[in-house]
Amino acid sequence: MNRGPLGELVRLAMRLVPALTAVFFVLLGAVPLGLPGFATVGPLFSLCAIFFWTVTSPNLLPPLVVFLVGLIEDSLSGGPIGLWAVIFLLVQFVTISQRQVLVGIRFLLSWASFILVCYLAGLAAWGGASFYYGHMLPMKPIMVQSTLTLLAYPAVAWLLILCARKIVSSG
Amino acid sequence: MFLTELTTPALDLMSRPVQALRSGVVEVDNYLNALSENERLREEVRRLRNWQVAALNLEQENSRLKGLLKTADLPGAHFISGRVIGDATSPFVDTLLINTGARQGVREGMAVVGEGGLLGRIISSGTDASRILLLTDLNSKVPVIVEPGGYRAVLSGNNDGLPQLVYLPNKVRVNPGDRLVTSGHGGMFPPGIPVGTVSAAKPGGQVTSPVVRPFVDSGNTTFVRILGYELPLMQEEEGAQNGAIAGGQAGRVDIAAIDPQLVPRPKPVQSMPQAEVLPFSSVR
Repeated sequence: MNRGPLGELVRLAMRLVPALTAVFFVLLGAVPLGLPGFATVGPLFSLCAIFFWTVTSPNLLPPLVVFLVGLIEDSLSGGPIGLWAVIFLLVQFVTISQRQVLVGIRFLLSWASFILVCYLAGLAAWGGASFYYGHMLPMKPIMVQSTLTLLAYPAVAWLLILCARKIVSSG
Repeated sequence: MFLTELTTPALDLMSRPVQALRSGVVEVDNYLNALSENERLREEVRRLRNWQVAALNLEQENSRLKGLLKTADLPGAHFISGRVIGDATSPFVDTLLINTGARQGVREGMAVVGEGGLLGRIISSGTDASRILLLTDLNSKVPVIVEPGGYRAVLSGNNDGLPQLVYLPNKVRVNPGDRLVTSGHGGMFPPGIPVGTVSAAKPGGQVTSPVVRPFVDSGNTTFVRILGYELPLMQEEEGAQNGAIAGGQAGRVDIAAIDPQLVPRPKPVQSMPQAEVLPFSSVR
């Protein structure tokens, strides 16, 4: 590995990869795909990214970055500002509290633990949005979104594992 | 809107290949279905010719009746075109992001039309990006007229894709297939923009209010037109202050060139005596 200024620059860039991928997945979720009804319940890719990086290398995804990613998600989705920002922080908090159990386990187990995180985040979002709008919103769309997020997790994790390997190899 | 604007260039860039792919799929689909599509279009042309005759008769009749009533036409309206760059829809919100903003003359409250009718309205506009609140959103309330009865009602979004018709007069019965157009009440939207049709029933649920299927499929919309529209009195006031209607000069398009039936042909505001402007509550 290059130890000169270029190498330092590469290492610095690699440290930004978790934050950049999280933002990338927020943007990906907002790209119009033209599939009827899909946009409403499309997977929350950013939640997958936050869970993945919190388990693998939480030091590269500080709470402030998680909060900002949530704010971008709120801003693009047009929902209550701060809703996903707070929920992403809660997800990070819960995941870090269980990290000792989650690190090093098989992928299937990690995926299974994401089920809980995913549905709890969905429930919290539903509760927060219902409170914000002053009445009970339909629960079905958020549950469908949580399920699709869950199904999208292996694909997102596969991409992020490739990124994580690059980070490790860059030193 | 600041964060949205910050991410707009990246979102614009990311949406282009997806839209190119969608266009490609549509092209292939069109090619494969050319024969049946051709036959369908021939049939539609035959049907529309009959409608054209009826429409011309109605236009003449309408013109004569307007003359008798001495009502004023709507003031000039203009379109600003925009491209959808973000499907900013979530389980709680139904909005779209477009790549035109205040710089192009887009302002909050402007009506947005897609292919076939009303799509929603602008709820926030930044310099080069704006957010459209779709008809299906929980916070969307649009005053409409149900044709052919001419009943006034409000189209209320509920976040589940099929908005409901509320505040219908008592004992009024609407039928599946009845057409909805904007009423123009409140001055937010010009009257006469097609909105949707009353749907037979809400799929899989009990119907308390009639359910409406919008003409525009927001999930399949790539280009939109933002309609600049001013109430006559507001326009006169602004004209007195500024000497011109604010915004959107560069992007203005002749409405008649796009769809002359969508909004009545404009007349110069100055020639319209103020005493003849009907109060909007009396216009159906």
